Amino acid sequence: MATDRYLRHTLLPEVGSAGQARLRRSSALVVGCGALGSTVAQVLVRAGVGRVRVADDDRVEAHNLHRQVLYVEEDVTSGRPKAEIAAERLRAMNRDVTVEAAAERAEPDSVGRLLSGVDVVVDASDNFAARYLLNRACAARRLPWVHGAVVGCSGMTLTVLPGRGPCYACLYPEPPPDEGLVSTDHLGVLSTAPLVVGALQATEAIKVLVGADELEPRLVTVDVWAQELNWYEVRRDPACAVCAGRVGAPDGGPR
Amino acid sequence: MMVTVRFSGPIRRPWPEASREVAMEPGGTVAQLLATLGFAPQELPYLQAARNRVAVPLSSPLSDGDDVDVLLRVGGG
Repeated sequence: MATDRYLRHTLLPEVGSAGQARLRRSSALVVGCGALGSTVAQVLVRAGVGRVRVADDDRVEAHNLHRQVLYVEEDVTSGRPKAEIAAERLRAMNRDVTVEAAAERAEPDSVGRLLSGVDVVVDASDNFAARYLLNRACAARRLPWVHGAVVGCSGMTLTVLPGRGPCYACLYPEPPPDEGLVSTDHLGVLSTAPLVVGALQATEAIKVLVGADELEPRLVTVDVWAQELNWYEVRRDPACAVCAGRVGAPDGGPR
Repeated sequence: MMVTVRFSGPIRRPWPEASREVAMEPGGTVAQLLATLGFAPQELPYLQAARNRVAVPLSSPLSDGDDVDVLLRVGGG
C-alpha cells in the first residue's frame, strides 16, 4: 500500500509520524463484534494498528444488520461466526494489519488467551459479566481498557487505566439485577448511536496506543437524538476490592 | 433545600423538560430524591447519578444548590 496511506494521521499533532509508528507496533483486542465492535474494529484497522484481535461467538441475525456495519445479508444465512466474517472484512480494509478472529466469548477460561500480547482492550460486549471479567483481568495485568455500552439513542464510555485511576467496579460495584431491562433487546437501539459511541471508544484506544497525555478516566455519555454529549468525573472507590488487589484475575492472572 | 435535577438517556422522566429545580429535605440523598420523584426501589439499581459532574453512589448526600444528573446504566453493545 502507498506510503501516504496514513498521511492525514501523520499530519495531526495528536498522532504524527511517531504516533503512527506506535500504532503500527501496537495490538488491540476488541471484545464483541456487534454494533460497537464493528465500528471500533473497523476504525482501529483503518488507523493502522498493527494487530487487531476480534472476539465474539455469536452469529449474524437479521435484526443486527441495521447497525452492525461489518455484515451483509448473506451473513445471516451463512451461519458463520461473526468473528470470522469480521476478520475477513477487516483484512480487506487494510492488508498491513494482522487481524485475528477468536470465535469465543470472554469468559474466565478464555480471557487470559484473549488478552495475551495486547496493549489495549476495547469492551464492545453486550453483557455485564464480560465487563466485570475484563475489569478484573485487565486490573491484574495493568492493561488499559475502554468500556462502552449503548441502548436507545444513548451510550457511554469509560477509559480504565489500572493503577492510574478508578476502575469499572469503582463506578459500578454491582451488576444490575436484570441486565435484560437495560439491553437493546428490551429498549432497542438507534442505528447511529453505536457508531458514535464506538468512535469515542476507538479514539480512546488510539490515544492509549500513541501514548497521549490527554487520557482521563471520565464517564462520557452521549445522546445522539438530543445532540448531547456530557462527561462526569469518576473517582476511585477506596473500598474497591479490584483496585486494592483483593480480587485477583478471574483466570489466575497473567502468565 | 433546592437541587436541580436533569435526566439523560432512555429513562422514565417525571416531567417533560430536561431539568427542573426540586425541593427536598436538607441532608437527603440521591436515592431519597429519586424516591420523591416516583422511582421505585427496584428501579434504582439501573440508575447512575452524578452530583456536580462527579459520578456518585445513590447513597450520596446532597447539598443545597447541587446539580444532579440521572442516567440509565446502559447495557447493550
